[in-house]
Amino acid sequence: MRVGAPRTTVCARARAGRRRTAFAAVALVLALAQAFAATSEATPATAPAPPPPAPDLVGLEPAVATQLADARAELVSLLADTGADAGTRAAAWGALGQLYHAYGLHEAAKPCYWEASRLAGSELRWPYLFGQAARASNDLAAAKAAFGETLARGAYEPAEVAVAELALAEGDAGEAAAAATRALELVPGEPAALAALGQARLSQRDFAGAAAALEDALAGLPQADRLHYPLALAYRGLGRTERAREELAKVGKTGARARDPFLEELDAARQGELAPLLRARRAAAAGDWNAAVVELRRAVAADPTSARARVDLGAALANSGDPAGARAEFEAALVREPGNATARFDLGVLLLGAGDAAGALPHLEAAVALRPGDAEAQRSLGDALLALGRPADALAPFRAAVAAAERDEGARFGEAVALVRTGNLAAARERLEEAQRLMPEQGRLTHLLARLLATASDPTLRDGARAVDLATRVWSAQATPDHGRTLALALAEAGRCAEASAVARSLAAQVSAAEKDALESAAALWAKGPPCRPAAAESPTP
Amino acid sequence: MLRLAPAHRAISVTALLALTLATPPPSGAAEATTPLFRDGTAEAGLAGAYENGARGRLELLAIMGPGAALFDFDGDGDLDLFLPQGGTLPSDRLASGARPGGDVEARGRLLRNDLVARADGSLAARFVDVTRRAALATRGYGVAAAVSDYDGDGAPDLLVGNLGADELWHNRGDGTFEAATPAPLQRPGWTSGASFADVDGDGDLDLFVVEYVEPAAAVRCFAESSRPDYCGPAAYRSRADRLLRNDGGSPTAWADVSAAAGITEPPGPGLGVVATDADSDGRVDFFVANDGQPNFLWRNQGSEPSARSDGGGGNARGVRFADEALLAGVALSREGLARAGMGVDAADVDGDGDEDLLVTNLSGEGNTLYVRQEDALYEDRTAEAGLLAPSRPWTGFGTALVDADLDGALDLVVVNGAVRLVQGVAAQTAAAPPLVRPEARPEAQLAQPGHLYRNVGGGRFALAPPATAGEALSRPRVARGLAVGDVDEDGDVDALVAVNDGAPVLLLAEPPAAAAWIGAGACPGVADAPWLGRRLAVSPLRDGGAIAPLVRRPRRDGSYASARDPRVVAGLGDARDVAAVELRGAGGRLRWVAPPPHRYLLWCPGGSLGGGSP
Repeated sequence: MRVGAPRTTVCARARAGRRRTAFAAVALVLALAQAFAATSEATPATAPAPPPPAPDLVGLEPAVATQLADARAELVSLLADTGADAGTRAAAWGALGQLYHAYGLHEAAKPCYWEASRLAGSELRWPYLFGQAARASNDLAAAKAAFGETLARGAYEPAEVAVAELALAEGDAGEAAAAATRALELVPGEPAALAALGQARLSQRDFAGAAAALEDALAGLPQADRLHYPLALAYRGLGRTERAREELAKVGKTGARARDPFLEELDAARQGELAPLLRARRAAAAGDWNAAVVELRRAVAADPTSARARVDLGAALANSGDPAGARAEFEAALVREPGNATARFDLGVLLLGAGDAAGALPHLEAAVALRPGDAEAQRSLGDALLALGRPADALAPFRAAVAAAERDEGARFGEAVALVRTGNLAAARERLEEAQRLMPEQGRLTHLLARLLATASDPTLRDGARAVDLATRVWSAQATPDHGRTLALALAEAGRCAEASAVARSLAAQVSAAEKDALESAAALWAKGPPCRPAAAESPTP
Repeated sequence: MLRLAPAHRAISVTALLALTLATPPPSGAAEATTPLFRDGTAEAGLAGAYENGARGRLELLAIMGPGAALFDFDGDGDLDLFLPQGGTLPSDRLASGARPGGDVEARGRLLRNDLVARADGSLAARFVDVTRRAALATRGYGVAAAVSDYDGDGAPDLLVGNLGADELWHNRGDGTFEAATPAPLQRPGWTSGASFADVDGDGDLDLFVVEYVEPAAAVRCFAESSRPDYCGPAAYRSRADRLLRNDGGSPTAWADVSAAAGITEPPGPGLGVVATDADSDGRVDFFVANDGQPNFLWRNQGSEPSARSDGGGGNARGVRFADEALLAGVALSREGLARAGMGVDAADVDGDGDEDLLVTNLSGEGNTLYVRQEDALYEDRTAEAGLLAPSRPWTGFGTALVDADLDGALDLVVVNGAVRLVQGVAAQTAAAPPLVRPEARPEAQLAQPGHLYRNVGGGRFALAPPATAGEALSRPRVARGLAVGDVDEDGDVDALVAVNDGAPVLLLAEPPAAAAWIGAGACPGVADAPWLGRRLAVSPLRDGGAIAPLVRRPRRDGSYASARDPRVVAGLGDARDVAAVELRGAGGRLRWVAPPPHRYLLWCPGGSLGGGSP
């Protein structure tokens, strides 16, 4: 297998900048060599090429390991060809470096880039990528030298941004601002450069300058919502606290990145579905579902038969607000792999969330059959059965979920609701008491127990004083009308009629007209004094 | 100014004084000619490894412990040591059918410090295992330790944070402990740190517990290369912080008021906690370092009468907290990135009298220094302080701001150890220890060197080379906890490093021989609560004038999963005298401890402020 040869020309934008002097280039090459020597096996410019690095491939996915081994063998073969010119050898070294780099094997990538850089003295791609690999492996001195070498060979705005970011890491705001300004000369209005400039101004405590740069960056790239955070700090520094709070409310996780053709080439260095799948999972872990969708579409395109890629794409689409697209992907995955438990579960949950419990049921039953110990699947099956009015059938999956995860609040809640709806109030109370001991911080369970203790149709199960205690806790934590109603019912059960009436009246102003009438009539009834116990008809389930 | 000749004279707490000190040392800013830390492990008799229960698997649960606690459990004036022990992972015990919480093969160890005199007259720590004698029979998979005298009887008690239910051990005051775990601590979880502090101003110490994630076993994760690797916290469900109110100190007198206090939402994968008064309102706030999610700054809002409840599980005194980390500027890095916070500390690094915050983070992120600007407002000045670039390659855990060279400025000690194989391998490329195959003992690949960052003034730090920091600190290991304290009673601050895959390491501080210092602690038998609220302010005399006071706050919390010496030490550098020694925030009196080499001032509550006798 032959690795695709990288291009040997730089993009037009990269050519547009000024060139440094030859003297500076030589100095920076030496600095790069010194930095490289500090971290790996340095090779003098005149020395024969070392053998390509061979990272440990143990534990890698077989497809990846094969890809890397084949690529290295290709380079070894080419190096044995004494007829290959320097440009060809440089491209081959660089390509192997890109492959290692793409898979996060930075220490192996750096010697490859170094050799490519040595052989192709005017190419700025290789020192730039060396710098990125060095930065990723936290070798900031080598990265700095490499970016300097890149810029000595030619203008490249992402390298200037990288220099600015390294300077910021070193606390050198002046150099950071200068590099960001140079980047802006190359690409006016570039959001990543403006973001770096804003950071430099923050470092200098020039809050007005920081706010201006960051506002400009956001104007150019509104989706870079992470920038709202430094912008908030700038406004805070200016004493504009309310404006700072407004910006803080917009803070997200997407930063500003310069368009970087060299780094984008790394994606092409990877083959198959795995790379975009891994990138997508990282994006998803960071909450960036839109980026995950982009990557997963690549994965599906790379391998349309991959069920796992389609399942992940479906999940990402669902999380990014496209349930129809999500359903299509889950169904496509199940066509290819009917026994895919995750696809069954995801599709079931998607349908259940859309109110289609009947549609969800067979998928959740299949998911549970495939993974009986999956608490979430069991709980979701219970939810579907409850939604279909089958509480007796829901008990088993809820209990299986609790057995698998005793602190699964949703399963415990569902089990209690199912018990109430099947008339097993004593068992419901027992299970809720147990859950309360285990998870007293879970308000929904506490609320349900309070309601049950206040309104159970079996008077022997009621306990007004305890209901008041529990209801007060949930009301104190979250003063919702439903919590207030439970508090009123509990107070009434405890014989504290005047307080119950007062709470009901205060709630009446916050609820719908239909509820208002009921609350006001209850308040009037309770105002007459004891006994004022709530009617058994009041549902124990909130 | 009054000049005191002998070191045994009583001193006034508030009056301006001048104390004649030892011969001034060389300037602390210069690189020390001898290492500032040396390995005292063997001399102290420390041995015995932490058993992490990993069994060759890439299991996050097995690589997060342990911490350590330095505290004077027997009241003899020197620091003893508690080391949590792991053992079989709870998930493995359940899988094998063993009884949860039942007897296991490993127990936490209590080591008594029997100071011995060296030939030159100096004292050396010598630790002796007294676990059984002290009736300290911990049972869980131990991760963290926290210490405080929660019942105010003058004997420090011990909280052991476990994978599973926690354990609270009451110190009887006679050298033995008794189990006193209240119900709210008996629930399964993953306690990574805790802080005892009086949150409601009732005079006793309440308990703030930081939990990490749901301890699910056998979760699988992969590195970018597709190679199996340890999972990060994003693979698990985060757990909420917890607050237990102390209603009298008995096992039945603790109430979980977390929800009512407002600290359960949102949950966060917390690893470090330190109490601090972020807004100078006299109430205790908590800074919590979260792993991969924004940090919390739980600001104490005080009591709200409308939130009162008469329920036992309620929050009768109505203390509520609100997370104000975002606006305060301590939730994220300056770029807006949530870091993987591990260890924390709160102390005055820039000499302006207020407390700044330090957080250790993941490899690739660098540690974070939040410098306080005004009440409850901080700035991330990590890069400007010179701390960002040198700390980026390492995954920091235990940390402490201590004056390692006794020059008057707080230095920074960080112990490191990776949590992903790829980080460990990358770091080891530079350090060049032999690699271990993943299938043999993967956690060994996580070893990283510890670091000392010397405070060089002007708000800047410089990474000390191994020759200055000492080989013992710089040696790669999978370090987790760091407990600091003066274990050999010589006035400098030593450090105990708790290691995940090996034995603990005792680092003995070796500041310049003639370094002068003043320390302070509570009198024997004095309860924690009043002492931990104090501030020691020492104003050295330099070049004929008093310089800004060195403010040091006693605390037992901070770092990672560890408890520190509650005494404070102020290094005086080349100052020959001090103009004032002030104990802020309390009555009582300070007196010198006699005889030398002790140079600690002891504070005893009660009596007048004006003087006292030895």
